[in-house]
Amino acid sequence: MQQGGDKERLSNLINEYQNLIFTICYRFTSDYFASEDLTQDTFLSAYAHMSEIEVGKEKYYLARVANNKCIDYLRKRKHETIQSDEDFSAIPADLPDIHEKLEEEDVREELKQKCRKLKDPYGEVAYRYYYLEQTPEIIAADLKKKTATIKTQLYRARDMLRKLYGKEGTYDGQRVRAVN
Amino acid sequence: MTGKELEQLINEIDSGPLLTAPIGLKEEILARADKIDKRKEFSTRLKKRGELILYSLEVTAVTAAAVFLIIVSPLKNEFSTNRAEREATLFVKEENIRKTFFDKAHKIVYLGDFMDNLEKDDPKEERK
Repeated sequence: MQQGGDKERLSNLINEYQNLIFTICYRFTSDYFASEDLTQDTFLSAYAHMSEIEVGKEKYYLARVANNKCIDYLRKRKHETIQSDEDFSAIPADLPDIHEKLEEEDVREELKQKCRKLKDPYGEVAYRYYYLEQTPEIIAADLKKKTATIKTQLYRARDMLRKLYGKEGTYDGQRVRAVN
Repeated sequence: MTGKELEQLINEIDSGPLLTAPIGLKEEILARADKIDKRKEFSTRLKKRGELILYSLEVTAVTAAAVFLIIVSPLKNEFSTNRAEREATLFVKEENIRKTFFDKAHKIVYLGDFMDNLEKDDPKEERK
């Protein structure tokens, strides 16, 4: 069936390109959770147009979609330093400090810091899930709580982290500064 | 961003270390894709059901109209304002009545003859 074939192709695309697309999105937004959402939207958009994607050109297609979605996202956020599309086109290719900023350790360290800022029990749960990458079942077993409770707390923690990223941004000055 | 710039960006990012996508991302994407498929399936089914209902209504309407015409047409002729139609209908009715009457009359005559013949052929009468 067509759907089954598309689903399998989607799965393969995710396996192969999720890190690349996430990195591209993070490069534009510097927001961990926004990047996650945008990465999801990118793959779902590809799924909706699977028949149009030529074999062998998936990487380019996904990158293009991710680029467009990031631009739309940044427009919506209405940051004062971003005035027009030209800003976006110049940034990714030319600024070496952005490339340095995208070391995995830095990103993860920042994630850890933000998780620690949340009050308990959300901080603990978020730290374990996002930084230590433990599953909800393992977290529930360690903390002696129900899995459903952990999942609810994770859902709320994620919302709080999203707002934290949106409010504080990740680096100041040159490109992105939150508007308060 | 032009195509060339995008290719440049991809190559630059791809050549360096990539960030690890969040845990559970793949499962979430596939789950959302499932939801999209189910929604599509539901709306297709709903659309087909709607078409079926519409078609049924059309057939019912046409059938009702046909039955109505069948019932109304003879009455229409009898009470027609057209004199020729009216007289033709009445003529047919009269002919039917006449035919029925004569059929019955012939049967009665036949029965009478039959009875007469029976009396003539009666052996008791002959012996006398």
